Amino acid sequence: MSLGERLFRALTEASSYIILFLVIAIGYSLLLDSLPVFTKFGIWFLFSSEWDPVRQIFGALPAVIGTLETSVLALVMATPVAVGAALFVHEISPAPIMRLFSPIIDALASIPSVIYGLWGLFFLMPLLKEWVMRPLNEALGFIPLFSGSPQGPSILLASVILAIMILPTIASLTLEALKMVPRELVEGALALGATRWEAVRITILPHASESIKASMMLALARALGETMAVTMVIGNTYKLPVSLLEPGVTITSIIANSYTEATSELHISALLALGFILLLISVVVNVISRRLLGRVGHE
Amino acid sequence: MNPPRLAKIIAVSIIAVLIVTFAKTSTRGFSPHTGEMIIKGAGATFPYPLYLKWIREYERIRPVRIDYQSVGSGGGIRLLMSGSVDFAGSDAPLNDEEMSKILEAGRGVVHVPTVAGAVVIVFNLPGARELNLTPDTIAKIFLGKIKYWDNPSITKYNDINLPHEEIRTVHRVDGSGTTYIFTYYLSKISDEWRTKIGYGKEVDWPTGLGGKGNEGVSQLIQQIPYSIGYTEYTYAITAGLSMASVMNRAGIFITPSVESISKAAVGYLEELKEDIRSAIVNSPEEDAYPISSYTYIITYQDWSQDPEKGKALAEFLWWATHDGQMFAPDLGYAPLHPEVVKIVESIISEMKANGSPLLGGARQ
Amino acid sequence: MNKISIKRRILNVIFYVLSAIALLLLVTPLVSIFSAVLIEGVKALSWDMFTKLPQPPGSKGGGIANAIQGTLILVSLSSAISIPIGFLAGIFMSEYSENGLSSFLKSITEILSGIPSIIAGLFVFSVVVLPMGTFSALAGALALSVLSIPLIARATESALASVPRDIREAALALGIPRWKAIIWIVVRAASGGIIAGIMLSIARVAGETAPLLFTAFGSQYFAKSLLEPVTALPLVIYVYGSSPWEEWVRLAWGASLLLVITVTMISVIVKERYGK
Repeated sequence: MSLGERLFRALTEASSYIILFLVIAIGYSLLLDSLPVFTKFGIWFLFSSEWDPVRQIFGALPAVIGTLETSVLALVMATPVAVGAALFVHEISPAPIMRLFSPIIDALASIPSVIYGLWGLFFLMPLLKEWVMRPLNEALGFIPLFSGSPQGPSILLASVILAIMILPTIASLTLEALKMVPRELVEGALALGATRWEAVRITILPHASESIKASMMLALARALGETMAVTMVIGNTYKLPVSLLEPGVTITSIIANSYTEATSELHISALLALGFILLLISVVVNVISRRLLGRVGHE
Repeated sequence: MNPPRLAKIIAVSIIAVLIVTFAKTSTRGFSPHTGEMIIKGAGATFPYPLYLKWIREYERIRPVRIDYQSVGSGGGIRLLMSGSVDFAGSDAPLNDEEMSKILEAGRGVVHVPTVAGAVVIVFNLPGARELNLTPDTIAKIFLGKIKYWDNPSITKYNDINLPHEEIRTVHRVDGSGTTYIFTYYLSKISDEWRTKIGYGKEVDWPTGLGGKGNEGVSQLIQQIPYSIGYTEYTYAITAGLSMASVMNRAGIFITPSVESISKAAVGYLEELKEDIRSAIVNSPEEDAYPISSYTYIITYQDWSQDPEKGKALAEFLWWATHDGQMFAPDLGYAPLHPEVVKIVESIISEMKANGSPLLGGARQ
Repeated sequence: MNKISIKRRILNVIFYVLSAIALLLLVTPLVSIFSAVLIEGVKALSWDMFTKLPQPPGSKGGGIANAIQGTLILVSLSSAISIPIGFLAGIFMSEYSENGLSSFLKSITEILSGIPSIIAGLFVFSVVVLPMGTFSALAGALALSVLSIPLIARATESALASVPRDIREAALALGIPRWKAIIWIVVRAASGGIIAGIMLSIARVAGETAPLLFTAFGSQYFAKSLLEPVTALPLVIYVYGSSPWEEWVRLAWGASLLLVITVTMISVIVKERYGK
């Protein structure tokens, strides 16, 4: 092998090992930083809901639950909308709308998260408070989930913004899956007298369901790690969430808010331990979603 | 994967572990060496506008570059202890634990109060700009014990028509000197607060919304009707928020102002002489605003390892607490009381290198 | 018409209506966000916005010139770091590594690209900011690079993988050394996809805020050195947008407009030219 060949190859090889280096370094660094809190509280760090810097007691539960709750709620709201929109565009709408669809999806996906936060704070919050949160509270306030007194910043608001942010992920992958369903199947069903809905239900949905599941996992991963938009609208109250209409906290929001201000080693370690938990959750969700995607033949 | 590849992957892993470990161990006591003299400081955000003004003015008369990063009181102290900065700005003095930790370095420590500030109670009551509150009422509101605006303990001191609306409390979510002062005050005036919550830069709030920074709290107050919270005086002024008058120890409702804040130290001169870390909240002085406090610059006492830098810093602190004071009122800070300036002079004189004071006799 | 068929028809109509509503629900936020940014952002536009430094709270005027400078510094520095690394790594995965290693490295790349962006900030804070003792543009750029390296590597790898095998074989048969064949023939054939991937990753990191919080940190001044803290458009949007001062909120919308225009323009150009 010539010198140029060897040099070039070595360069490319070294570059790809930098990626491996980063993954290990990030994981190890966070693990090292979280040790103090895990040695002090052990596994109870995960199950305690107290966060008291004065008494140096830290528990991860409210933040972990808050992260999971907002993300899952976002997924529940986003999936029907994204899948429905993709079905409408692919099955019902005239061609021009279909051509507009993917630029719309791209635009939605390209908006920086901090702008979602700004918009959420100034536009969505007042609307949601007047038209959704108050009526829900008045009608269903006796259920703990809708209790309290809605003031704006809340778990619900954060979830709605997250839902909007993950729409493009689910919609674009669903649309791709719809395109892969053999056309003859649908035409066949229609020719046999099935209505459009029946054709969709019988032929398309079973074919696309794996892809939709994969896209949901991918969207979940994005929602879990989302920081800015959530931090700006969730209200930041470190309590176990009861009502959706009350403020809450997520792993990312408490890190973004208190990291530079924390003084004691244990407090910093507690925040980094939360980061480590988030890292583990998001890596697992990501790996599952890639597995699912690989199975349905994307990438 | 064949063995050589596996070896490479393991090698990369080991390198990653080594580099991260090295980076973490080199954090302590590492300070970058640069030729030009730069005094580095970091800390409290509250005095940031004033410190910037001072630095700009001081640069004109002395060839010293001073960098101040407003990372927050907690962050500043952290950076000082790790040796990354030369001084920390903090709205709260070091507590005993932090004191013993920083004294481990063997360089002593000095607290220099630079200017007085106050925590004000801000509120959003449609139709009302003024509100009188007693200390006990404030504590009960933030404990979640007083839930509605038309509670008798509020209406008793206010002639306005208060609605039966829920009180929404807003607090700081990040660690901050503002929270420290506010909760320290509440602990002084309320036994229940002291035993249940205590005081610190961050506490476990029993109720309410959290906002990031004085800015975040101010914004929430603006946006949410029937809310109440606390911010630094300057923020309330610039954001045009309504401020409550608070009953002081003499039983008089005092509106926060540069004058009423400056007065707070008068009742505490003896304590301050004893220990400059003494708080000036809940002053017995008749026209003093009760939730007043100092913001401090904290630095090492012994500068033997770099006498030149120590001298430059001591000179800057001297200037700031004397000539620099005239810039304070315009920016919403209360100047140090003349009696306090005398105490500060003796503190700065304690800064030394190789056994002799950094500032020559000329100044005394 | 019998009963069953009426039921079927009604179901079908419900399907039409619900899916149309879904589309509407998807489009509405987009329209709302864009018009909010456009209307509020245009109100903030002024010459001062591009040329002046921010003013202390409470005083009128002032701009975000330092944030524009900061974003340019952060994005170009992180490009300088991440483009070569990502590009070369993509070449290795596609061209040099055998199957087992390649799929291992690809999944590692996927893992890195799935790491929440705030984690990248925490990591750089503890291994770069603390040892150096200062927040800096360099630290910010490194944090952004952690995010963009896997994106660029993945884009390069998949663009190269789509180049037909026989092109490589033909080149080798002509006696061209493999590395030259890769650079001059394979990479060139895949250049559209690679450039598109790089540009999209730039658009993505230009809008990132979370990794900058503990690294670039923000500043009220122009940066004079890469070892000083700098501010950036997304940081300005976050800090000013959640402040109580009208003037600052106005600037936050102005910064949003700049950012949205930049990001949208990049993605439109990429679509137009590379059809990706």
